[in-house]
Amino acid sequence: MTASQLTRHRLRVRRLPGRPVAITALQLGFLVWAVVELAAGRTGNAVALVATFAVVQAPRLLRLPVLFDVAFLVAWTLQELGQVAGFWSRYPWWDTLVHTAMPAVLAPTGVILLIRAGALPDVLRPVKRIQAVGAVMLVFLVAGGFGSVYEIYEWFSDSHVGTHYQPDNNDTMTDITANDIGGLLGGVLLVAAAGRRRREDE
Amino acid sequence: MVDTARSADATHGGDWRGATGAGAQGRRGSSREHNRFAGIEHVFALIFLRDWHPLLRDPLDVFRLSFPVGALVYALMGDWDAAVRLFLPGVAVFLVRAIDVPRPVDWVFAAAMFFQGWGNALHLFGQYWWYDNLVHITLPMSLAPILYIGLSRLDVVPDPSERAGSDWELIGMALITASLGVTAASFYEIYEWVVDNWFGQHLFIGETDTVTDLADGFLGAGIGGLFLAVWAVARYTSRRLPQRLQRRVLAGEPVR
Repeated sequence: MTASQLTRHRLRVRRLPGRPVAITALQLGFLVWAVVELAAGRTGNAVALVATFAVVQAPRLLRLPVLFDVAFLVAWTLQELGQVAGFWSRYPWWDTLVHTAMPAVLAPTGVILLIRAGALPDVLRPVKRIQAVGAVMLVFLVAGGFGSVYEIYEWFSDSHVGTHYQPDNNDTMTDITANDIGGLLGGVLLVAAAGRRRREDE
Repeated sequence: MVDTARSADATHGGDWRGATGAGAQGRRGSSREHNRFAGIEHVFALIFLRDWHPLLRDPLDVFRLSFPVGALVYALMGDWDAAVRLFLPGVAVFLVRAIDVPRPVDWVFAAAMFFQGWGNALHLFGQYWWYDNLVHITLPMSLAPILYIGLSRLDVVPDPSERAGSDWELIGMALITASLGVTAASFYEIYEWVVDNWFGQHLFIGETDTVTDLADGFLGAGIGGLFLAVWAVARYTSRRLPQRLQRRVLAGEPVR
């Protein structure tokens, strides 16, 4: 390999994967929304939206399939509609929806990263059917485990920092149940998507 | 072991039987001590490691019998609530016996179930404020490695010994084991919430109780995950040793 070929190869390796224009436009929508919030004097909301814009870049930076960009976009739009547009207080079920959507997106991402780091076996190429069930279960467990730890954090924050994340025990239990359902959903979708991709490659 | 000690003594100190003087007395004293240790080791192996009988293998099986016997006694006394609360953990400990997990894991699970079952039967949860925490820590601590080993037997996850190749593999296995324990703990909380809200039970649950139980579960499951990682690093088998292999191990023969 010549020096110029090597440089081209390195550039190609480093270049981030492209994304459909529609996804980029929708991601930029968070920045536009942040400007609107800033103009209205709601700096906190603007900062949250800028942070969200950064978070939705994660799938591209991690070189995940486009499906993850869409999933991140949907989940964080639901989150910001709750936090910034006040949907949490407007619709009682919105919180449960967000608690289902978030693990459905984050747990499969976490499992993929753990597989890449070598912490988990490559469960996305199952040989037997039971191993495919195992892959769904791993996503579910990551969601269930982290969801429960998040509820402990919320309680700790309410008790010691003065936040109001958990109005009562019903809210905590609904959140945990929603986390589990979201994790299960995310696991099924991940295994289905991985299987489809594998069949296409073959 | 005695023979090995004797031959070592003969190599370093001449004829073991014919030795005289202070040095020889010291050696004799040391040998007696060694024999005593060998004897203790033998008795320990006989009681705790060797299988007595396929149906009643070791002291743990005797311990397990305390559940059905206790349940029967309470049933005869007419206390059906205590009988059921002892019978169900009894079923769990016998199920775990069937999957032949390593002895330490089996012992910890039996102890956790003992706290749970007998704690309910003897009303210890109400008597000691810390008893609930004890149960909520020990149960996920023992259950998480058992669930992981059970899943590895089904080929859902790799065997612990196969995940000792790198630090990341160990971290991943410990994480999944801990997640199993925490999720199991959260399922129990969901169960409590469902029966309290929809089936008219009064399990005295509240926000703080739920989160404390979850935090205990998190702590216990974390310990369980760490335990399994250490177990994998030590390259111990995830099965209770079969009797055939055990005899060879106890006799000091090489195991192939």
